[in-house]
Amino acid sequence: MSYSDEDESLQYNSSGSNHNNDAATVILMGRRRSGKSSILEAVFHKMKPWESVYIESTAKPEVLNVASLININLMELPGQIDYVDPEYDNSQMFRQTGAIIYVIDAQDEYYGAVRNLIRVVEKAYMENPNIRVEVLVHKIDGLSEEFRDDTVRDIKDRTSEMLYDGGLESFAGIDFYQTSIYDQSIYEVLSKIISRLIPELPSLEHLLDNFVQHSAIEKAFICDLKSKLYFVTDSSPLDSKIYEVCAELIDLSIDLDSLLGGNHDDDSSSLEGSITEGAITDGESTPKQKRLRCVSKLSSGIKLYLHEVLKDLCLIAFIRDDGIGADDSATLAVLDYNAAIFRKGLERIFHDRL
Amino acid sequence: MSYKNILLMGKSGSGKSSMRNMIFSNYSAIDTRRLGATIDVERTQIRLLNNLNLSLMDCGGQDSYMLNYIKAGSTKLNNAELLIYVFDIEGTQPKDFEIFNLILNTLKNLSPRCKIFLLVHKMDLVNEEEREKVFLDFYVGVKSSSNLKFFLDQNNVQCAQTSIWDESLYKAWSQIVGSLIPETQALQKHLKNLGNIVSAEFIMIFETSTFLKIATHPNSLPKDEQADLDSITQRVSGIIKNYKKSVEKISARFRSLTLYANSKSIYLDNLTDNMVIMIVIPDSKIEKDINKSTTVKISEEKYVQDVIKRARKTFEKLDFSGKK
Ligand SMILES: Nc1nc2c(ncn2[C@@H]2O[C@H](COP(=O)(O)OP(=O)(O)OP(=O)(O)O)[C@@H](O)[C@H]2O)c(=O)[nH]1
Ligand SMILES: Nc1nc2c(ncn2[C@@H]2O[C@H](COP(=O)(O)OP(=O)(O)O)[C@@H](O)[C@H]2O)c(=O)[nH]1
Ligand SMILES: [Mg+2]
Repeated sequence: MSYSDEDESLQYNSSGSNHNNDAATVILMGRRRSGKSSILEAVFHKMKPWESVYIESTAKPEVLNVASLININLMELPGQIDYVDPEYDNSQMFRQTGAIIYVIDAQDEYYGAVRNLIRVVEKAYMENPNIRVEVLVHKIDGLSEEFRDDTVRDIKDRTSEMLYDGGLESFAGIDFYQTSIYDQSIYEVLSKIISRLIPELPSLEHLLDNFVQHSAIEKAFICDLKSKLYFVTDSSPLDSKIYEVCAELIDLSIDLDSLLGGNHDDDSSSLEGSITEGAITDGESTPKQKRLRCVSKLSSGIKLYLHEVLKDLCLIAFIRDDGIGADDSATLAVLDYNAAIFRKGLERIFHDRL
Repeated sequence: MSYKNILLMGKSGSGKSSMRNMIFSNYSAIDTRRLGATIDVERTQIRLLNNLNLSLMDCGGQDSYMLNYIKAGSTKLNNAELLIYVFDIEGTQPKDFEIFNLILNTLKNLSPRCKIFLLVHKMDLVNEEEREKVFLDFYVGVKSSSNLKFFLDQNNVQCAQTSIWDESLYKAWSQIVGSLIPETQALQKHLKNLGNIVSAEFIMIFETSTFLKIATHPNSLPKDEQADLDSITQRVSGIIKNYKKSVEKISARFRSLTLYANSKSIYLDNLTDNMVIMIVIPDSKIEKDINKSTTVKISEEKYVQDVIKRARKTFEKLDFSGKK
């Protein structure tokens, strides 16, 4: 349950090496400077948005492996190479790809980008009719609020027009999102895209639905502690603001832990060790790797509950008290109990993989 | 109601309004980019703790305004408790020192007891290795300014380096607020008691609205450890402040937080209307007499919450203004 890049410098794995065979592949494409590298740096390497101005243009395909609930290779293809050039053999690439994320700079002239997108779709669809194409209308922060929806609509309209002209009107696997690295939108959108690729998603959702029912919870997530992405949420509708606050709670827990608690980042405990929590060595000399657990109370009866159920994977619950005023410590005891059951369910689902 | 007058001055663009809005209005560093130049004076009334009322005057720094403040008959410099003067480390020119000296001259006549706090700002623009030296050199340079001598002689001058991009901002402003709070000995004594009762590694008290540090236990450590603790305190302050701000997006306010981290338990709770307490307890201390199951953890939480509850009365009685 960790990113493959172990060292602190957090380099991407160079392309070609380290390719994990059973990993799903997601390709990031888009024109130069559309923001692909910035997205990866911000989400997976905690780069501050404003630091992204120093990122240098990517020269060759780069792969970032994310291994957690799902094992994914995120591959960034630099914008200056024409991947749909007939000279360039990409049939293999598209066949193995679960999704293409196509990034369009909303602050720039985007007509050329849309044309390029169409060519990518044509080619990818030909190789792999099940492929999904996720279009990020990116850097949306630079547009005024009232202009944002119009821009996305315009891009959408042009795309479907051109798809129609190319005889691809039946292609349904395309979606459009507004994103920016200056707010939580990129996290939410990437979460959605990635969670679709998890084969066990239905059983996981079911597990969360159960958890929610039995604990009077409004919304629950399974999140990656390192990137803050959620991999699964229960089937009730998602309110972005609630996810945003939950993501902030992860930041807070991780930050306070590394500031005060010590070595959470230290990957000393093995994967096996972290799953069999009950069997932790008792010796005074070996400090046990404890899981994060955080409870925060807010006004109007809101509680946030975070519990690391597997290493770097946490269960988060958003609870809104109905005012009946149940005993707090009893509520928490029930939550802890259900979280433990939840963890067992998770282990069962992933028994083969872990 | 009586207010303590605080002047916030410095050249235009030096970063005064940025700091003010970050400390008192929940701006984040990036938000400050949209601030325009301050026109004349913006006055903010701030109430910190029981009866510590401040009137902060953010004085627009364009030369014409600055010259206006020192004109005869100007009341801005009257009755000032504290002058916070901001120097932009990159954009300060000799001419700016002339204006600074004129201000000091006027202040000497109108508010001779005024304390001076110099902030050497935008230090993020200086290479990290050189920061300390650049800062000290700058301060030495300013000190040799003859008009500061009058205040230096009364031991009324302090200086700190700041940047809105790191915790140095909170550190400096904690110092500023700390210098305005009357005797904190009683507070310190109670903190010590509390620390013993819960075997705390350390305790911090923050002012609720700004989340500036008011007191810590232990409060005197060897120099290195103290610096570490200070830095931790400032960062915690920043982290919680950020979280407090983010929960406002769902129209909620922060109440409390319990975190079981790798080897520590961390408790944050309201202590009084104006104070938030943070207690950090090393794990081993409490694990000695309990087993490891989660249910027992909750009773530890209960114990600490109980202690805080009982402490509330004591701390509410500590009326800071009463000791004036
Ligand atoms: N790099 C850097 N920039 C800063 C810092 N503090 C403020 N700034 C920037 O400096 C600019 C001017 O800041 P203001 O706070 O408006 O300056 P001011 O002193 O109030 O100016 P007047 O109101 O005209 O007197 C803003 O764009 C801030 O984002 C800092 O610590 N580092
Ligand atoms: N305003 C804004 N700028 C962004 C955003 N994402 C990236 N950028 C900027 O876009 C520029 C190009 O980004 P980069 O990641 O190098 O693009 P790439 O060539 O697609 O990898 C950089 O200057 C980033 O700071 C965003 O969400 N909003
Ligand atoms: Mg200003």
